[in-house]
Amino acid sequence: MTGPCRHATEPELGAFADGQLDGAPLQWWDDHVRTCVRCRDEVGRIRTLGAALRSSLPTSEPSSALRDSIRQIVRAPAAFEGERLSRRWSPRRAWGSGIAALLLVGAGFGLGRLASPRGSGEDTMAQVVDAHLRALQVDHLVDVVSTDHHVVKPWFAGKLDFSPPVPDLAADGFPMLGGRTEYLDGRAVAALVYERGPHRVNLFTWPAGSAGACGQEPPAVRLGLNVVHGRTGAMEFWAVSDLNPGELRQFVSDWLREAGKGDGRCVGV
Amino acid sequence: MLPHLAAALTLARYLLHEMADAEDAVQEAYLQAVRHFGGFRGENARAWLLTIVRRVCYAWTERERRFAWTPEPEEVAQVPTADDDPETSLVRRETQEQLARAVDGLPLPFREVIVMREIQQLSYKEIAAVTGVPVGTVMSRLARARGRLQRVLEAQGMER
Repeated sequence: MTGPCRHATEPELGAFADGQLDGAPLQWWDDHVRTCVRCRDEVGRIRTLGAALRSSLPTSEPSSALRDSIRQIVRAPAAFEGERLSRRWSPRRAWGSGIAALLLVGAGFGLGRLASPRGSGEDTMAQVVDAHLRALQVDHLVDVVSTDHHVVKPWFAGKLDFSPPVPDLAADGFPMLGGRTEYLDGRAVAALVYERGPHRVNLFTWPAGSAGACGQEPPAVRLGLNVVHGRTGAMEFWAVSDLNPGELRQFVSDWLREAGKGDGRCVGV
Repeated sequence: MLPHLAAALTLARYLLHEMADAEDAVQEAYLQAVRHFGGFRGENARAWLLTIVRRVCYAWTERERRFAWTPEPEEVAQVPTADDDPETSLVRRETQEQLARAVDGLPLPFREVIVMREIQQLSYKEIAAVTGVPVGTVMSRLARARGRLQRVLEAQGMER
């Protein structure tokens, strides 16, 4: 039905089918396909393939967490200054899968039902990171400036419907800068700010919905920041910082030890 | 740049296969875009952004030594012989899956031109700009990639 045509295999025929030619080549192919059935068929095949591909290949819709991250990056790239590609990727691989496994198994550290369902946990993590960056950007880390936890703790009274633990960690090398309130996960929460050298740690805490174990999950990496989720039994908390994962874990352990005092579930943490 | 996020993510996903990797790559690309390029001044923000996304993906692919990712050609050539549905106007689900797998199995240089042309409908000039090769090379890569994918379609009885 169709005779061979040496032009039917020319790459330029694809460009013609795609409407990407102009000038003399366009003129030539226009004339040619009018008389060459084989090449005309080939144009049809290319277009059929294109339609099949468009209906077959999924496009990727960004999650709201990714959108938020990108917005953050576009708005304030300076907050990520000093980030290295390698740092952003390699730990996240390891920690990311570790966290996923923990969330699924929920048993790695004997935390039981500590972890939120993955979706809402991810969402809260995004909000936590966002709150940390926002506070750094607008230079609004603290509403009550004090290194004294005896000043910071009463300040929260009347601003929150709970009394957050406000441990003094100066002896552990994490002096307090102060505190403020934040709106996270649909509720007002306490934000405590500690420092180590040039690094800031934002710790967000609020009462856990139900009683639970005491402990922390391994650090996750979001936008180059390390994030740790944990519970003191009665309180849920998130810590976020540009501290390295080891130091942030140390901070969280110290914080847990002090904040969990008096909570039987936190003995020996 | 946010309007191009879906396009950036789609390209990254096809280059790196994994969605988690793609999300990381896209964040890195936006960061580089904002930080190192001092804002965009050309006329084609999408192509510019995709160029950075692609560069980040390649850098990572290199680092992860995933160069040797080669498809099983037989995998895409499986033909269900008994299934001779005359309904050729619609691409059947089975064919769609075969096609998607075939695209995932294409070597990187072919995969990226197919994604940019057939999904994202970039012009040849834009693809040339993003990939850093001449338009003639884009043309020949597209032709070769289409040749491979055409065989998948034919094996599925799409063609008369």
